[in-house]
Amino acid sequence: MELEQTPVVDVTEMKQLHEFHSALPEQADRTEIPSGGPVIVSDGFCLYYGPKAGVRDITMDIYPRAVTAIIGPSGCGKSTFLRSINRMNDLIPHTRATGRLAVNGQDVYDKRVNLVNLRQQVGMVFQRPNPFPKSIYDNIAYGPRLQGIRKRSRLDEIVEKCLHDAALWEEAKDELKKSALALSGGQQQRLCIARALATGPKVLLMDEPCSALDPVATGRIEELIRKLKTDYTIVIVTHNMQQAARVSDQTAFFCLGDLIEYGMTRDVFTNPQNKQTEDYITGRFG
Amino acid sequence: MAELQERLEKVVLRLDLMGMRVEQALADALRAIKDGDVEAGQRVDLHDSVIDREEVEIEQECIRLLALYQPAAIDLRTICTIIKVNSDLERIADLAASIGKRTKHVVEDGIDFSRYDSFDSLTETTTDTLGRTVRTLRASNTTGAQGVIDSDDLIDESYRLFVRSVLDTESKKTGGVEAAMTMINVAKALERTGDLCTNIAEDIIFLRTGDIIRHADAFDEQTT
Repeated sequence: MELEQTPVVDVTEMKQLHEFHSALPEQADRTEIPSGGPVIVSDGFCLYYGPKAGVRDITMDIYPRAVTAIIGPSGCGKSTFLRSINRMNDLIPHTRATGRLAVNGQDVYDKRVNLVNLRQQVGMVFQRPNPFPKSIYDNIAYGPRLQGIRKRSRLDEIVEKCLHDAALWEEAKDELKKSALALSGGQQQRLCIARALATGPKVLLMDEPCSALDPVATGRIEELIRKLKTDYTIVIVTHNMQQAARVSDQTAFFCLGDLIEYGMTRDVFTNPQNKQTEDYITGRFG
Repeated sequence: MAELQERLEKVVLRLDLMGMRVEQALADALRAIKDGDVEAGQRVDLHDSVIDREEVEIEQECIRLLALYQPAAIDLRTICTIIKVNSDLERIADLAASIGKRTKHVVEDGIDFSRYDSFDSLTETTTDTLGRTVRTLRASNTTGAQGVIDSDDLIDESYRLFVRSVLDTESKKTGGVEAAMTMINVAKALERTGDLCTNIAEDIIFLRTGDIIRHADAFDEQTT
């Protein structure tokens, strides 16, 4: 005789829960390299300050729609490498690059590269917010104007979009003529991100973007980074291990100018393959 | 040495000590039940509260370390492992206490474990496995951990043999069902101890390698 089964759980409720769970965003920590080829390819790249190497033989691929964190002790070459991507190091005398460093297939150290175009493609956000002593509007419109955009309605559109993308629109929409210097530190940094977005870059470089910010402002920038990675390739240098673990998909550990380990962030922070990486992220050295 | 590492070292030592206490508790409980020493069995049960307190304190310290230091890599794996092993050790201590408590019934019902060779085999395999688990934990040794995992099959086999012989023998006696129940419950506690030793060994392998080997079959099925 077959027994009639009495359901012990509400099947409809179970289905709803399952659907709710399925609709939740994917887990934050990526388990694999994003699809598509790399946007930045570094192949045996070295950068010298006079006779001294700032970074040596760096070979790594940086992927789109992902955040790549570069960590390492002071003087390890992480900022040197970051600044090499849009040739900011050219401003320092006696620098010399060897090997290959390409963005979207173009070797950035090729003599034919137009630096202005390169820096429009590869935006940068610095440690301290550095807005121009101009209005909020003019800070963002500055780059597009240099690109030759003069039409007011087009500039309005760009300013609004960039402020939206940088999560600053709601706070700034009624004060676009106000001096950017009147904003708080966190707002100024988001304005700098909006300014970097205004030239339509593919890559955003961030050199310790939260080191001058309080925890609340830091949280907002981190949230912004996570949002921006759906459209941009982001490379961030940070001294804050927890920040690297929180925001990045891949992590590269540099030490004394060398790339020691590069892998998925969740692996690097739970089970690094290299002893030096382990010692650094657990605070045993550095 | 960084403060986190110092505090971690201390908590690792506390866990080692807890492992030794649990090993002692099981040995005492088994001696009590074999010798029919009701008082010794009660002592194991009373001592369980010391292990319970220690478990809570170890867990509290782990939570503090997670909150205060945001550990990564080996430090993070060490804390996660301690939390899990701590809980498993405490459960083994509970099983030892339950064996200790049963000594009273064993004496009252006139149960004689010495008539069953398979019980000796079960107790020896289980105490040996627990001892190796505690030593493997101390040395954080993956080879030893694999040995512990392999021993679980021996414990399971001894358990099956013992249950079979108890059922065969006791069912023929008047009032044998109650005695059989008591004996099987004691044996079940030993079989569970083997399972918990396996859990601990798997956690030791995670600590050393970062690999979670538990339920590997389920993941293999998913990928094929």
